[in-house]
Amino acid sequence: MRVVSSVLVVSSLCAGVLALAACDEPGASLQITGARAHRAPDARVVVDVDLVAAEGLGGNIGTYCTRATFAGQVEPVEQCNADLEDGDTKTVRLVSTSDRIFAGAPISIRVRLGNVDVGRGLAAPR
Amino acid sequence: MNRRAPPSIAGLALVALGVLTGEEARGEPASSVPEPEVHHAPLPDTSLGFQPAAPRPTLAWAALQLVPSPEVAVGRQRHVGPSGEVDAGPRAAFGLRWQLTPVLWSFGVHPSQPRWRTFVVDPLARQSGSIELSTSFEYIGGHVDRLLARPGLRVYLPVAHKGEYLSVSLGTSVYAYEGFRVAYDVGAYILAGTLGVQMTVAPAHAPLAAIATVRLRYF
Repeated sequence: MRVVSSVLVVSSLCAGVLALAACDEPGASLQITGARAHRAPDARVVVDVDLVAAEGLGGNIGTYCTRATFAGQVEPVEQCNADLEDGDTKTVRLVSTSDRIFAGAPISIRVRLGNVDVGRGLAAPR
Repeated sequence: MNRRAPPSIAGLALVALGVLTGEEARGEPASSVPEPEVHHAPLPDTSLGFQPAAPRPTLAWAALQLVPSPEVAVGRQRHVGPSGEVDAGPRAAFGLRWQLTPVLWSFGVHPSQPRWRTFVVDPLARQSGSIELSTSFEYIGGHVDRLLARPGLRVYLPVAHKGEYLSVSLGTSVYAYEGFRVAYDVGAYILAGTLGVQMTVAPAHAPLAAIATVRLRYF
């Protein structure tokens, strides 16, 4: 009798485990955890963007794009990659093409993964 | 209770002796022989009584729950630097875990005892065979550096001496870490479950792939 009840309990637990396993979120996400800007010796602005990736099943998050739009520069700088897996962190470096970005000029940072777009703002350094 | 007993044979004999010796005839009063008082002791109560176990939270219990279980979390968190350099080494972090049992159903206790426990769980009820809705809170430092709450389900199975000498557990839990995650754990316990080792694995979550916990728990 005791063995039967133990088997029943373990079976119930296994069923619960399977149900919980279904809770694993297959969705991927990418977040900005930090952003810094400094000026290179050639007067261009360098932006470092810290990212952290998440994917519920532990896999690759897919292609993502990081873009910086500098006030005073017509074309934004964009970099696309597919090198991040669940839990990975990355610092993406974007450098302006113009050396005439004034100190304090706004810099808009956007990170896009699928149809999700997150952003952050910075001011150009001296 | 103290009923007067019928005259004994010795008493009757004394009365008969008085009659034969003519005490009544000589006009002397008969000697008053005190009747012995006999106290009948009641029969012992043969019905068996027991006090059902119903442990309640106390200050001592609450204080014991604050004792954390130390743990080491091992995982992989790859970092890609700004110039493309990759740091992919495994990382370890120290942590502390606190456990709480909102509900437990024991299938190992005597049938005359209640099977359900809430929050306060006597070691025998847990380690002799039970299934519990568990909740643990843990802080993990290092590369994780966050507080996690893990609701889950765990079954305890006795191995030796109804689990007092040795018992094992199987469980699963969920936690929030950049989305919902699922982990599985196995454990082995001695000293009525007071001391044990638990291994928690999250196959689909690299930063917290494995956690080894020295479980300290009493009630």
